[in-house]
Amino acid sequence: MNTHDAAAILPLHRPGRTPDSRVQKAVRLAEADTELAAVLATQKHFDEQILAVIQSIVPPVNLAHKLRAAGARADAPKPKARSQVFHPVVLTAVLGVLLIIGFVAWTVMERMEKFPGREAAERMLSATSKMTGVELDPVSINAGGMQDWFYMRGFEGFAVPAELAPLPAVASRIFRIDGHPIAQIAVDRNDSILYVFRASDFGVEIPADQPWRVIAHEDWTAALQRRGDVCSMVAFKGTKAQMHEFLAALKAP
Amino acid sequence: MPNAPFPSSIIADFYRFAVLLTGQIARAEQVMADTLAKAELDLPQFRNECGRRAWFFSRIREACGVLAGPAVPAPRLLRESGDDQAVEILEIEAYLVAQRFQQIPEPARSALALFYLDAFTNEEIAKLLRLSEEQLADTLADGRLQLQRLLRGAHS
Repeated sequence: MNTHDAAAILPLHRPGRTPDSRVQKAVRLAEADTELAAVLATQKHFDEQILAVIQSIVPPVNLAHKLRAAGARADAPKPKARSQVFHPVVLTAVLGVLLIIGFVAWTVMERMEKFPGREAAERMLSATSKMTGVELDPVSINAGGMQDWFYMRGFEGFAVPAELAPLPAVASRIFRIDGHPIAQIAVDRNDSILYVFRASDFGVEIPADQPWRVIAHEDWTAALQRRGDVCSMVAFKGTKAQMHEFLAALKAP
Repeated sequence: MPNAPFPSSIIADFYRFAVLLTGQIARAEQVMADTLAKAELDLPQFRNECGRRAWFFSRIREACGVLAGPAVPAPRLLRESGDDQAVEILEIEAYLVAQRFQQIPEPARSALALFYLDAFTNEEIAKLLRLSEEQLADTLADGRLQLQRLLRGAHS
C-alpha cells in the first residue's frame, strides 16, 4: 500500500472504533506522511465534532416507548396457524379456493348429468308419471329372473345389473316409445320402477360398465347404467341423495 | 434487552438517522411511527439483530423519501409534544447539522449518516447502500467535503 492507496482508504477511518487491518495500515502510513497526517487529523477533528453533535440528538421518551412496544410485539411468538385461519385475508383465500372447487365440482356434475339420449330417459319417466297401474301385469319373481317373461312377450336380450337382480318384481310390462320396446318392472323396494332397453334404440350414450349415472327429472330421480347395448334405469320419486343411498344399499354382486 | 429487538443505543441511532435524513424533527418522528407500523409485520422474519437493524435502517431511508427523492420542506426548530403541548427547542448545533445533512445528495447523505452512527461496520454500510468499500470511501470523502461546505455556508 502506498500513500495514494492510503489516502483513498482514510475516509473509512471512524473515530472511536478499532479500524480493520486495511484502514489500520492506511492510518499508520498517513501518520508517517506529513501531508496525509494533516488530512487525517482534520478528518478526525471534524468527525469528532459531528459525532458529538449527532449524539446530542436524543429521541423523545414516548418514541422510545413506542419502539420498545413494537419490538416486544415483533419478538412475541408467531401467531399459531389456527388463529391465522380467522385472519380476513386467509379466510378470503380459503373461501375463494372453496368456491373454485365447488364450481369445478358443479361443472363436472353437470357434465355427468348431460349425455346424449337423456331426453329419451326423461320421456320414459314422464310416461311413467301418466300411468294408473292397470297397465302392468302382476308378477312375483325377482327382477333377475324376468328374462323368460320378457322373451315370451317379444323382448329379447333382457338383462339387469347383478345388484338389481335380487329385487322383488311385483308387476311388469313392455311399452314402446317411438316404436322401440322398453321392459318395465315395478319393484317392491322404495316404490321403484326398473327399465331395461337397448341404448342404441334411444341414442343413449353413457360409458359402458361405469358406476350409475344419476339424473333428476321433474320429481323423479333415476340412475342409469349400460352393459353392452343394454341399458338399465331404476327410478323412483325422490332426491338424488335418496337414490345414492338406495344404490349404496344394494348388495354388491 | 429481552423484550425488544434492539438495544436502546440502536433505537436512538434510528431516530438520529431519520433526523439527519429529513432535517426535520416532526418528519423524522412521523417516519419512525410509519416504520414501526411496518416493523410489526416484517421484523419477525429476521432471525438475527443485524438483519433487523439493516431492515429498519432501509425502511427509514425509504420512508424519508431518499429513494424517491421528493423535495423536503424547510426544517423547523421546534419540537412539539402531543400530550401537553410543551415546546422544546432543539439543540441549535444538532439542528444545523441535521438541516445541512438533509441537503447532501444521496448516497453520500445516507453513507455519512450511517458512518457517524454506531450501528454498522463499513462493510455492512457498503452492503446496505449497494456500494463497494472503495466506493464507500469515495462517497464518505465527498460527503464530508459537502457537509463542511454546507456548514461553512450556514455559519457565514
